[in-house]
Parts: sequence; structure tokens; C-alpha cells
Amino acid sequence: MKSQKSKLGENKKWQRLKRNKMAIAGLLIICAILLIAILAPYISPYDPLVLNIRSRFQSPNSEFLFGTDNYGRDLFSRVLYGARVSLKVGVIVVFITSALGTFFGLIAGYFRKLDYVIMRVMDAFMSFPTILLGISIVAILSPSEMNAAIALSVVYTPRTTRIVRSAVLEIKGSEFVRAAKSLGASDFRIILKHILPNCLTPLIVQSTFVFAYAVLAEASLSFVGAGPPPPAPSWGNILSEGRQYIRTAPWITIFPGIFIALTVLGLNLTGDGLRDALDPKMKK
Amino acid sequence: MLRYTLSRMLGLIPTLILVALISFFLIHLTPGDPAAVMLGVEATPERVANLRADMGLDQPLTVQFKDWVSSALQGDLGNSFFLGRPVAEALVERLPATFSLAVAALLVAVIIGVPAGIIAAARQNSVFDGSVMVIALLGISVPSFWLGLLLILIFSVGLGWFPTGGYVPISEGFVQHVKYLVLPAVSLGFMQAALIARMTRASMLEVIRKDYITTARSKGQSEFVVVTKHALKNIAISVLTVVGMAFGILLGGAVIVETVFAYPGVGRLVVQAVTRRDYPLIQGALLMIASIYVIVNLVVDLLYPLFDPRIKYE
Repeated sequence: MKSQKSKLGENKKWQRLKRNKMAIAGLLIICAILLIAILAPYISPYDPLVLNIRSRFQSPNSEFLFGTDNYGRDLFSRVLYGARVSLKVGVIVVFITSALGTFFGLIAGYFRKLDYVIMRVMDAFMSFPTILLGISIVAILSPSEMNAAIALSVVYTPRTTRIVRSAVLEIKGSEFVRAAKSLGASDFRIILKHILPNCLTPLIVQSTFVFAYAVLAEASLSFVGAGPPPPAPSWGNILSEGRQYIRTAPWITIFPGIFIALTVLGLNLTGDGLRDALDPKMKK
Repeated sequence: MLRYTLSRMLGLIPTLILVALISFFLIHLTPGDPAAVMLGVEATPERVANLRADMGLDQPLTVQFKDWVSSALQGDLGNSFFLGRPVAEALVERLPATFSLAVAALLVAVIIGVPAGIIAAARQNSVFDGSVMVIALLGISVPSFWLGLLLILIFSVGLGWFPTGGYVPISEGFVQHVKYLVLPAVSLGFMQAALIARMTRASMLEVIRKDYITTARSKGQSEFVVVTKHALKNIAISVLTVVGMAFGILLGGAVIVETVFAYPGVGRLVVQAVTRRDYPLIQGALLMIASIYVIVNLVVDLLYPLFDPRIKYE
């Protein structure tokens, strides 16, 4: 009986999400970018790394859809490959921040004694501007795709921790948790069986937004040379290289930016939609 | 109020100590010896040893931290390795430019964001509301540095209205100062304007359904009075919170936009320090900007009673 009821609930949430046209548009954008990233080696017309000095600075044309850069590399292929970096960094950041944020959030929310310490540390981390902290960490670890992901995970974990913690605090006082406690359930069991499942909704919504932030932040890091080093294409470092030629070859700057904005827009739309569908009470 | 302010200031101490700890220990995460990393592969062992001694890296960590914090409290953040001058001096010199940019960006954000949010909520589901929401959604999705590049492309390269980059101090003429400030401020402030508009609209929609608004309307008050006199007062707090946060974000968020516009602020200095691995400068900048952020947040909290008399700090 109970499972049937919750299944009905799930259906209702899914219905709500499906009715939200913006959210569906967002999901479609994300799927398209994901496909581009996966299929990049098969759909790019050229090797993104091959230099071709003879065809430098070509404006977009039928041979080079997005034009070429200062080394004569095909921009379209580079932008397609760039999707891989952005999504990879985004996924790693979401994975690490969700794991760490859930861990610290559960502990801080459930054990009052640890709450103060954990949350002060998180506050301290949140006092640093995200990009500043991010590039400082990358500078220390040396620029690479993985280190950018690690740096951004450090930056965004406190926010996820906060969200999970407030969800825990809300559930902790409820009847069924107190009932489980009075039946002699261990803290570990209560956290895992009763509290964690109820934190998933805010966690999923938050993760979508973290994904969006991470894609934006990775582009920023790459732009100032704190991302994966060239010649490997990432949207941020293509933009950074193109910046010098903005007067003569603006297309190098325009296309990667459009893809960053589209990806982040897709994630934001999905996040807004999920929030409204899963938990209409919840506000950002 | 005085007692409350004092207790809040004392409450900042643990956060500030943690901020100092993070800024300090971050560079000790360097794989290997920071001194060797800073000097590069070709450095002789003597030079590395000298730099280690100079930076105090040969001391135990606890001693290093104590020395660093006690000097920092006296305004000494050590010496920048590449600039060959005190870190604090270099940062303070750059601070006015960054501050100017943050204030200008905040003005852009508030002037666009707050009215857009209010009008959108007052005319919920209208064409205006729809457009504001779509533009705001774009605003939070477009990277500010890319927006900056587009603005350069259109307004500097194309129309020639504004310089492509640089900075003129306010002391050398207000008009010139503003001219150099417009594009960076718009590219930086746009995302915050979008956030503020979304936030203002949401709080406004919540307030506008309350009973007292219905009462005000039923008394025959014009919609303008209802919005400005009754609703606005009650969203002031949430708007103030977002604006305060935005200012903190803008102070540090200028890192990338400053690079785009070759704007000589703290952010650009940090980016240069990062490429040169100038650790003392990175440490100092982290400590300074995070401390400013913490203090700005406190000030915003303390301003609450001014905007909402129901909040009283005793």
C-alpha cells in the first residue's frame, strides 16, 4: 500500500515536471550538449588540434562552420570537444560536492555538538569569493582539468552542506524520527534510513545548480589559465586565446561563449523546473 | 544595540581565524616545496634555501602561522616575490580601483534589478513579467567575462563609444573615470541584476498575496500606493540581504572581468600572482578580500533594523 502511494507521488512529480515547458526545454538542451560531448570524435569535421597555417583566421563559411583560429584550427571541432571538458568538470564537481556536502550536512544537522564547528568552517570557506578561491587552489595544485574540478568542489561543498543541514534540521524534529528513536534505533540507522532519503529532493535540485555554477566557473578558470592547459580545447581557453583577436576574428570569441551560456541556461531551466516539481515549497 | 553590535563583532573572531588559517595553509598544499615551485626548475639549491629562510618556510608550521597572523594584524602581509615590495602595499594601492568597480556594478545591479523585479511581480504573467524573467534567466547563464568581450566588440570596437579597457582614477576627472568604468561595471553587474530581479520578484509575489495588501486594495488605494507604500517596505529586508551579498561577490568576482578590461584592480593582480605563483601575494589577497566580505555581511545584518522596525537588536 505504502509503496503504491509513493509511486503515485512520484508520478505526480513527473507530471508536474513534464507540464513545465521551460524545464523540458532545459533538459533537451542538456541532452543535446551531452550528445555533442559524447559524439565529439565522430561528428567533428576536423581534428581539433591539427594546425593549418594556410587557413588561419577564416570567418565562418561552409568549409569551416564556425571559422578558424590563429593557428588555422577548425573552431567548430574545438567547440564540440570543449563540451567534454565542461561537462566532465561539471560532473566531477557535482559528484564530489554531493558526497561531501551530504556527509557534512548530515553530521552537522544531526549532531548538535559538531554543528557549530562544521558550520563555522563552511562559513569561512564561503567568505572567499568563489573564483578567487578557485584560482588560488588551482595555482597551488598546478593547472589541470582534475585540479580545476577539485578546486571548484572545495568552493561549492559548503553551499551543499548548508542545504542538506537545513533539510536534516527540518526532518529531525518530525514524529517518525522521534518514533524511530524511542524504538531504540541507532543514530546511524536513523540517519541512513529516515533522514537521508528525505534530504534527496533538495540535494538533487542543488546539484543541478552546482552543475551550472561549475560550468561557468570552469570557463572562468580556463579563461585565466587556471584550467586544462592548451592546446586541449576548453570553452574558457578558446575564449582566452580568441580575446587577442577580437577586432579581426570575433567569431573565436562568440561561439564558445554561446555554448557556455546555452549549457548553463539548460541547467538553470532544469534546476528551476525540478525545484517547482519536486518541492513546490522550496525556494532558492 | 551597542551590546548586540559588540557581541556580533566578537562572533566574527572564530570565522576570521578560520579564514586566516585557510589562507595560510592553502599554500602548504603545494606538492613539494613552495619555495622550489616559485623559483622554478632551474633554481640553485642555495637560492631555494635563501627563499625558504626569507619566507620563514624553514620554521615549524605553528611558528610560521603565528608570525604571519601577528604581522598581518599589524598590516604586514609579507613581501611579494615578483613585485619586490610589500604585499599589503600592492593590495591597498589596487583597492580603490576594485572598490570603484564593485560600487558601480552594484549600482547597475540595483538600478536594473530592483525595479524590474517589483514591476514584474506587480504585473505577474504580463508580457513585461515574461520578458524580465527571460532576460534574468539569460543574465544568470551568461558568463560575465564573455558579456564583457561582447560589450567591447559592440561598444568599443564597433561603435567606439567606450575604451576597450584601462582605468582612470577618479582624481583625474570624474567623466573619464566613469567612461572607463561603464563597460566593466555593466558586464559585472548584469548577473547580479538578474539575481536581484528574480529574488525581488519572488519576495514581492509572496508579500502581495498577504491579507494586509488585500485590505489596502479594498480601501481603494491605487496600485502604485499599494506597491510602494505597503509591499515595498516588507520586501526591503530580503532585497537588502541579496544586495549585501552581491556587494561581497562583486568585490571578489571582479577577478575575471578585470582581466578582460585590463583593469588594474586587486583581481587582476591576483590573476598575475597566480600565473607567477607569487604565494605571499595570493595569501594576502585571500585574507584581505575574505575579511572584507565577512565585515560587509555584518554591516548588512546590523542595518536590518533601519529597514524593518520589527527587528530590534537588544
